[in-house]
Order: sequence, then C-alpha cells, then structure tokens
Amino acid sequence: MHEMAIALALIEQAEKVAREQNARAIPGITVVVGRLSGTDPDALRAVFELAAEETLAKGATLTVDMAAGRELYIKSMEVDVEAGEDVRGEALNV
Amino acid sequence: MCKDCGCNVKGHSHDHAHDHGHHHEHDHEHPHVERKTIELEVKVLAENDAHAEANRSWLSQHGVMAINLISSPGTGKTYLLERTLERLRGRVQCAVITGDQCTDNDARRLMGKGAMVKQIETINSCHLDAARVGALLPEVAGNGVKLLFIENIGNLVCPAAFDLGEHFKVALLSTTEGEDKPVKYPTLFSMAPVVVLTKMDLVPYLDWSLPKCRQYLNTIRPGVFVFELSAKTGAGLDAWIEYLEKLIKP
Repeated sequence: MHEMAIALALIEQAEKVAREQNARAIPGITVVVGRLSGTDPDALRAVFELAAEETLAKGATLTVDMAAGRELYIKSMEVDVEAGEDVRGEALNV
Repeated sequence: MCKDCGCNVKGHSHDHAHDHGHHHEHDHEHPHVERKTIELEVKVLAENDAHAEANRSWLSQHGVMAINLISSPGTGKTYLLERTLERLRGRVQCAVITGDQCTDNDARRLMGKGAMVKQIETINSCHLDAARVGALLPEVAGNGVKLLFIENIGNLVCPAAFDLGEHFKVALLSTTEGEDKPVKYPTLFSMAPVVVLTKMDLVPYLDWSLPKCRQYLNTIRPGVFVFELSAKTGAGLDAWIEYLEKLIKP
C-alpha cells in the first residue's frame, strides 16, 4: 500500500506550513480523505506515527475526515508558536 | 448590589485580606508557547502534483502524447505493448517507461521494437511517481517521440492516486479477472476515460459476460471508451492501433 508515501507527503506539506509560521511543533493535523482518493484512512493512521518521527509532527494527533470524492488535503493543523509571534494566514485561537 | 461578587444578596461581606510576605520571582525569560489552529487547504500530494504539471508542460513542449497504463499484475499490459510497438514501428515514434517492483524483464521484452524503453524499479514502492518519471523524460521521450506509454506498476489502487503528468489514464482489465473489477476498484475506473479489455480470446472458456462488464464500466464512468482485444490472436488490435494513430495526429 502507498499510505507511507501519503503520510510522508502529508508531513512534508505540514512542516512547510509550520516553518512559514515559525512553529516549534505540530501537535495535530486534520486531513480530508476522499473515498475515491485511493487512500485507506486506517492504513494512513497506522503509518502516520512512524512517518512523523524526527519531524515537527512527532507525536501529533491525526484526525481523518472522510469525504465523497477524490479529495486528499490538509484541512487544518495545530501549531505551537511562541506567544507574541504573529501567526499569519487565517489563524484562529483555540 | 455587592461590589465583589455582583450578587443581590444584602448583608454579606467578602474577606480579602491575606498576607503575602514573599514575592514571586520572575527574572528569567521563558517562551510562552501558544497553540493555534490554522485552517488550510493544502493538497497532500502537492509536491507530486507540481512534478506532474512540470512533466505535462515538458511533454506538450516536445509534442509528446503520454498515456498512463494501469491494471492488476498479469492483465497483459506488457503483452499489449509488445504488439502495439510492433504495429506502430516505422509509423509512429514510440517510447516506453515501464515500472515494476523488481527486475527489468519488461524492458527487455519491449526492447528491439523500435522504441526507446526505460525501466523503473521501484523496489518497495507500489506506484510510479511524477518525479521519477520526470527524471527520465528528456532521455526517453526527446528526439522526435510522438507517443509515450507509461506502464505503471501492476496494482489497481495506488497508481491511481499519483498523477504522472500523463495526458490520460488507460485502465486494462482482463477477462480472467471477472466483470466486477470496475465496481470493486472505482477509483481507477472513474479516472480512466479509456478501458482495454484484454484476453478476449479466453471468453469461451470463462463464465464472463461482456454486457455485464460493460454495464459495470458504465456505472463507474458513463460513456467510457472500451476496446475489446486479444494481444495473442490479434483480434481487436486494429481498432486500438487506429485509435493511437489518431491521437497523435495534429
């Protein structure tokens, strides 16, 4: 199965965003997985932890939202940033 | 109203007096970490998609039509390509990028038929990706190639998820696999505008129904273009070859 490739690509994209935000860690990622995306959510969850080792997403919680089509995208992520640092983009406080 | 707690009960008091003989030191700087949620819409395969787009524009610039052939292992992708290269030899300049987990057996089968052939051994990966294909394009598909076949890893699931920059996908399905593969593996069959039914010469020996298979194919992708052929007997091959020749006509 190719979920390891998907997990690695997912973390790569998440780290890219996190670096733009000067984040120190990514404690959570929510990903939308379409039923026709060719990605199995259970397999993805199973390999995610290993793929996240030695990345900013180490120990991150992966939330999978299912969708109907071929969607495969990161919908949101939690980032830990130093207080006072401006978080660019559409940022919402939790 | 009580000024301390805001209640309307009269006649009570709040005792706030307490000793505080020490003070809290705070002479070091420590980072206050804040947790934020960022809303996004970042494609997981953005990196692959970028490579695929680069491949597509390279192919367009060089006038190459690229087809991504996807099927189960053993459907007959390589056999069909052997017959196809033989028929197009001297008429259409073809090239092949063929992927397998291991061995260059397929490349060796396809060599000597007038086409440039390159094997990708993916070792532990179940699909070809756009970066790997892109790295081979100048070598394989430069020099006047008009038609590039990308023979993907035999697998109905994973290759469907990775855009290689091809112009379209062709799904192959052999009669021995049963009629209902399209509904069992809808991802690939919903993405392939062309389907080739292979091993049609075996139909007399199988409980396999062409109308049923076509019905399943049309359920997943209405109006899908279907070829029925046998690479072994050559039946149905003419239509496939004519179709390929028309594809690359300016």
